[in-house]
Amino acid sequence: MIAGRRKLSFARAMPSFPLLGKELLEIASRRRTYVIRVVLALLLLVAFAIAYQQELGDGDPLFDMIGKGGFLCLRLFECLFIGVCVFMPAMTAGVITVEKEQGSLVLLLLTPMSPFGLVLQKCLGRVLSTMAILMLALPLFSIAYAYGGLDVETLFLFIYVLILTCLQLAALSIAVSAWCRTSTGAFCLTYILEAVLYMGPYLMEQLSYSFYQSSSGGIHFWKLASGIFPLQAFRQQFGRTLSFDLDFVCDVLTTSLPALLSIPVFLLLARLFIVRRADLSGSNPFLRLFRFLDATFQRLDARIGRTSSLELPLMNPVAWRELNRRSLSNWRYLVRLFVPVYSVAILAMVLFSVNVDREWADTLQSMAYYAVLASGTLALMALGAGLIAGERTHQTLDVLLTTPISPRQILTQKASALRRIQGALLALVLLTIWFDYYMGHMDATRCLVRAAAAVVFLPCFTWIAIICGIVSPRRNQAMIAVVIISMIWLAGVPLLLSGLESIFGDHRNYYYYNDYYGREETFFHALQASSPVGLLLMNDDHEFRVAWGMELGVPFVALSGYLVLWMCLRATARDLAGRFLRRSVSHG
Amino acid sequence: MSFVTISHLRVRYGKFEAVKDISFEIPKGELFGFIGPNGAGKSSTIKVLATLLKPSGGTVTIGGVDVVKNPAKIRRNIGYVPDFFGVYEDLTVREYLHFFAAAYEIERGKREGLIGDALALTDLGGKIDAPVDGLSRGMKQRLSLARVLLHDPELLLLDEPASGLDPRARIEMRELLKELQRLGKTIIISSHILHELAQLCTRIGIIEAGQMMAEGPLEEIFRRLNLMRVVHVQLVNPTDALIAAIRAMPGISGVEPQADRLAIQWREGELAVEDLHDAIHKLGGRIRMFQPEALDMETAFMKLTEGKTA
Repeated sequence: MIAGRRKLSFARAMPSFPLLGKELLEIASRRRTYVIRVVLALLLLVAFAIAYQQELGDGDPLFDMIGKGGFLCLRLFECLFIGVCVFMPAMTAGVITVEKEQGSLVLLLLTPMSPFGLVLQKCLGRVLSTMAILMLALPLFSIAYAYGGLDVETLFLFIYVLILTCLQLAALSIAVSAWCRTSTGAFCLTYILEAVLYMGPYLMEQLSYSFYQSSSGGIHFWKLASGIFPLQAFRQQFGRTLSFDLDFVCDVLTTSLPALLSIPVFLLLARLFIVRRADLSGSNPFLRLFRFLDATFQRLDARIGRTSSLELPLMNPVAWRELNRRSLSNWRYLVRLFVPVYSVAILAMVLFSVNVDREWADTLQSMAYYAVLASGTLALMALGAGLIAGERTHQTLDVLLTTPISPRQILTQKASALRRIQGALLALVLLTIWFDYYMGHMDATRCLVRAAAAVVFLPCFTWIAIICGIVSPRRNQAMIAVVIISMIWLAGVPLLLSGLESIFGDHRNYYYYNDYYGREETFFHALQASSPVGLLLMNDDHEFRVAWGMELGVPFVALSGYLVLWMCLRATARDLAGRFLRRSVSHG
Repeated sequence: MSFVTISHLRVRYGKFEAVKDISFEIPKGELFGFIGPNGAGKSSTIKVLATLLKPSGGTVTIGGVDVVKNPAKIRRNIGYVPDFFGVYEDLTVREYLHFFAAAYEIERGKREGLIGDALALTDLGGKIDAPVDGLSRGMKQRLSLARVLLHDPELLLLDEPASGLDPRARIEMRELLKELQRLGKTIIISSHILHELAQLCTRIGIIEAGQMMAEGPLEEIFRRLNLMRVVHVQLVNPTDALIAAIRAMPGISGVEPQADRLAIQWREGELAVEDLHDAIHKLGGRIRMFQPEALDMETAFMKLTEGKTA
């Protein structure tokens, strides 16, 4: 009796987490949760097998792997770390914006649940499900550990860094989600902030060295700030022999202090934004600003006696709305948005080229190209995934589908806005390439391959995102799907090929193509170029040689392939639009 | 001659069958009320008519054209208003209507005139340059109706058009629908608010769990169900003998004397309301007021659906 009463009072004393419970139950009841886990487990197994084979080579599996567990663990850790960095924002960025879009966030805030409790439960829901995925690697870690060559402290550091990154990115994503109005905005902004947070301080530190060539306060600040990236903070410690004592614990805590501190800061920001920005039913700030400017110009026109004509749709109404009433697709708005971006980009490139040494200028130029290409691709992916999902969310698709406009026409007209944004982004990418060429950082051939790659990659990723948006009933699902597909294409293909090469080819010559360049290598190069990352890296490393009788045989064939892929993806999207757009949201 | 013909319609979502073999016909110019609880299959049936859903079985024709075989032709002849309106909040009323005028490929020269007419009919003329997101719910609903009138369709499909509207907006909506019926439109309107449809519709169909329970003109359904009706009668000479004589009449189930009138319950299947009036007069009753109560659709609905809701 007393024990029962104690149990009851204990249960009452325990804080309840209704939202967390709901989130976990929802995740657990979805079939795709288990499909994703199985796929990720298989990918990890493949990565482990490749790492094992690379390390083993032609050796004896019984003896030659002894003491090589450290390498295997490091590879596993790298895979998991990249996975967390890529998937955590995709999984978490929409958790609060979805509630905003459905109008249910205000209702949640009216419950006795505190705003901080809400933030915490939303965050924990995603962290716990990610932890469950990370635990898939435990059996492989134990196998690797059994081979020896790895101390417990390093293993602890691997796990600590993974958990820390997980928590930090979840907190960052929640803060961004609480700030943003739409899932598309949250998705893009989270990745951009992640890149700034992880790469920014390190780059600033390096730049400060390059500018000042000596130690200064600024350099120390950026060095300290670069500790916010857990991997950067612990980079020096992974190779060392460590011992598990109080010094080690204190050292770990001090090293990870910036990262640890960032977690409550992000959560507090999320707490602040979730209340202040709970009801953002108005249009986005860019659109409001641009419309204000339009109205001002119209008033000025009226004063000088000029009347502006009304812009009304004459034909292709869907395209008209996309091109005239959206902030990122109206020509006038695009110019207003991109002119400052172009100006800043040009100024930054000139400044860097003048002030930093040649080697650094090369690296920065390369980074500028990849940063613009990656952020442009990300933006197009987010917009593409939300192209049809947006109509579904605002429940306008059904109305549109009862008009004589066919689903294919709807898709084609909506995609016209993305083409315009693609054009603007492409101009920025080409600007960085031209600057590279003008400053003599890169030869014309490499510049040409880079430019051609940008021209075909942006539409390819856009159409993949559009297809995901057509097939997936919700915007968040579409975004997660497009991230998974892109990661498999970008990283999975080179990883698999390098693995296959190491297993079936002469792995000792893997990095020395220049020694021998026959038909097999040409074929292998073409396979490598089937991934955009593979193609661009080979281009940067001057690995293209004469193939199929052409100096640029491999990139020519690869880029032609991408062109065909682009056309196929576009045709597939149009075909799927006809079949999937009529998928009803609700039934009565 | 029926304008809309639904024959053995079936709609399936995976393993769940939302509409189970329903058949009915709607003559041209009728205002057909589709009544049923939430999840009964009303919206699914309307979506099939709107070419948004492909039926799992059966045939559906509008004006003799099959909705599955020729959806493009059907779309030019129907106007669909979903329960959530489906309006673009980032446009003004003018832009919104021009958007759909372009979607329906209406000649450019005719657009301004048609939009003006539709706005006048829906009483939104003063809001032509107002942003859509600034309109009230009732106005958005009227804007949706203005949208579907632009291309002058013969059939209007309105899915729960009065949901979430205040009493004034509901009355305005009712009057607007009556006006549209006068203009010769065939209208299918779904709702679970029964008395609203009773005041509006010329025919009704009661659907429950995907099956049509009853269909036809309202009076016919009541007659078929042999439901009790009530008439309020004010007599100059309400003597006990007269009341007893009325009670004894065939088809009368009860007479309840109230402060200034008698509430007489009678079975319409056995005694027509005109005959009741004549019978009271013949019994010597001097009638000052004779007012039958509106048809009690709640009772009909509960009787047909046996009180079950989804």
